[in-house]
Amino acid sequence: MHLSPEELVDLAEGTRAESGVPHLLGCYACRQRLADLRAAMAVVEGDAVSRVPEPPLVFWDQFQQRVSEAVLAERRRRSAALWRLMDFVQPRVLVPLTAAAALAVTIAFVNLHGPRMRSSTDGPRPVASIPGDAGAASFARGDLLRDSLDDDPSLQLIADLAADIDWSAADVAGATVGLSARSSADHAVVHMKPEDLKELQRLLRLELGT
Amino acid sequence: MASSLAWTIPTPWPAMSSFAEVQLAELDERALVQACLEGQPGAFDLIVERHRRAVYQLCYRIVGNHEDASDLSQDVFLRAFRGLRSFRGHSSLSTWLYRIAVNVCLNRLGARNAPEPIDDRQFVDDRAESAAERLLRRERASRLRRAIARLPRKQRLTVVLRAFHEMSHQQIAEVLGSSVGAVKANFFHALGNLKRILDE
Repeated sequence: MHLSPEELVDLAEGTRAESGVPHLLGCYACRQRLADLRAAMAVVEGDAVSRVPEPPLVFWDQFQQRVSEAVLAERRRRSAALWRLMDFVQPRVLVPLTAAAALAVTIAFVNLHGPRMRSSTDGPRPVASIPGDAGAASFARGDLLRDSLDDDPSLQLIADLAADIDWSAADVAGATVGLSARSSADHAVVHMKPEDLKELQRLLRLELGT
Repeated sequence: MASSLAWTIPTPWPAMSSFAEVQLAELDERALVQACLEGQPGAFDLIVERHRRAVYQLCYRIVGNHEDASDLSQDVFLRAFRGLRSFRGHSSLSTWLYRIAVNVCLNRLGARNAPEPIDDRQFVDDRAESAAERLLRRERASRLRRAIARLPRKQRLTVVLRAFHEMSHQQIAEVLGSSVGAVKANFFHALGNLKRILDE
């Protein structure tokens, strides 16, 4: 079995000692191949002119500068690409996403900080329980407002949010100052008779053109 | 990239602060690469300065002329900058750059379907030689370069990297994506072919 090319290269380069390869002593063909290999290596490695011609010194300064300019252009290209991506993504994704996130936070806050009042399965659902002399009138107002919601579905979200608000607690906390003050318009609306509320609703619709 | 022969009045290279230069120069390879990724000024310039000659010489030996070697070696560094995040430090930075250089040069050679003629310019101090010796040396060198140019690509690359860049077989294997055994076998066959061509 003759020596492999890898073994001959190791012998030619001196990384393996010939004494460690007994086959060489008895094989003329392998000794000849090793000699040819060493001769070729000597020709290649000994050829001084095969070294690369050294460019002038000014070449290296300009080389450095050209590479640096190319790298700078690459950095600018990346920044521009990132800004273009943001311009594309922002109106189509970020704005609706931000709005949805704000709404979710609002709903979560209301749910966390307002104990629920009534289940929606208990017949007519009042919009809220109003402190003071609300009594049965609140149910009427609830029906009236519920009718309004039926007419205007966009108000349903606000109604759902407000349904979970504990007005008593809000009043105690001072969040319903407007409702408590007898001189305020809010107080007046809240304490209107049902027929007065209907008339108010009619006038508002007339005014808004709906 | 601009032609390498577009010699203009060289503009002075902007100097970094000496303190920053010292800091960067003291970093090992991996830290220097990290500094580049963090955008530290001058870090990549230092990498270019350290490896530009070796990369240029490798490109020159593969493609055989100064014009292409200059353009390709600049391209090597631009590609290195783009792919710097992929450098894991498993091999040396020079081996990684050599791998990029080999691919860039092979792509160029592949686009042309034939290697460029070997540049016969010589910059050797031959003042001590006689005219006859000089003529003989140049003729021998020219024959050798033409013989190397006729080798199959992998054999040519192996000879160039081993004989002229003194890379170990392990390093060559990393550059070429081969095994050490395959590199040695390529080297063996390359030298055999060279001898055959030179004897013709």
